[in-house]
Amino acid sequence: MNTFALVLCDSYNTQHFASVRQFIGADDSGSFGIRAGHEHLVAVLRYGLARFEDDDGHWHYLSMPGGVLHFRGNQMTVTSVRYYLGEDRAKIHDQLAAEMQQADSDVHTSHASLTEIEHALIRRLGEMSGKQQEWL
Amino acid sequence: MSDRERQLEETARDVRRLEDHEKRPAGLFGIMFYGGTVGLLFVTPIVAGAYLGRWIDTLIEGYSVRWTVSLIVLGIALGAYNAYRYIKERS
Repeated sequence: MNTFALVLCDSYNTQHFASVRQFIGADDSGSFGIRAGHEHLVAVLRYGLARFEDDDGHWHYLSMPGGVLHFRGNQMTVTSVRYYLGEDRAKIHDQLAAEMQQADSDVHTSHASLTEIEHALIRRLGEMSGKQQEWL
Repeated sequence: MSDRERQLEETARDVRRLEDHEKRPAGLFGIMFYGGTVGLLFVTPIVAGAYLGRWIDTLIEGYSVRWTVSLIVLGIALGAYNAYRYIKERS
């Protein structure tokens, strides 16, 4: 039993990794590593980068604004508000910035659409009230 | 500083820290440990092969070094393979 299961959860999605060799994260006391068969553990991860190695020896890098790590029964769960996963360490910072910008852009677009809908609704209500006055 | 800026900054700092750690040359203790491990992996099968071969040769009537030489050669091959695997895993 050299591997464990990893579940990553945030407000957008959940990802499962069936075979993970090791996980390296950091809390306020410093950096630590977890391997299969670890005792029951709960840790509050700090802002920044965590990483884990899958069964094929590939490292995955996880950037998050803190989170809660729970390890029990050879399964680890990492819960965060929003995490960004990448395999290229050198590019993860740029990917993160790009994704944040994309999220901002999406919010801006949604806000613009909502404002447009509100204006159309007010216009329509104005038109309807004008017609109602004509009928009276 | 907003949460996003903090996340970006902390992520960049952790990436830098990891890269610095990997680029840093190994200390004397690290070099000794690495070299010692490679040496042990290489030498152990040779010595074990030599002892085993010598013991088998003593069981054979008359003078013989056939098993000793064969198992030393096998030990060299096994030791080289072990050392190669270790170096490959570490690099």
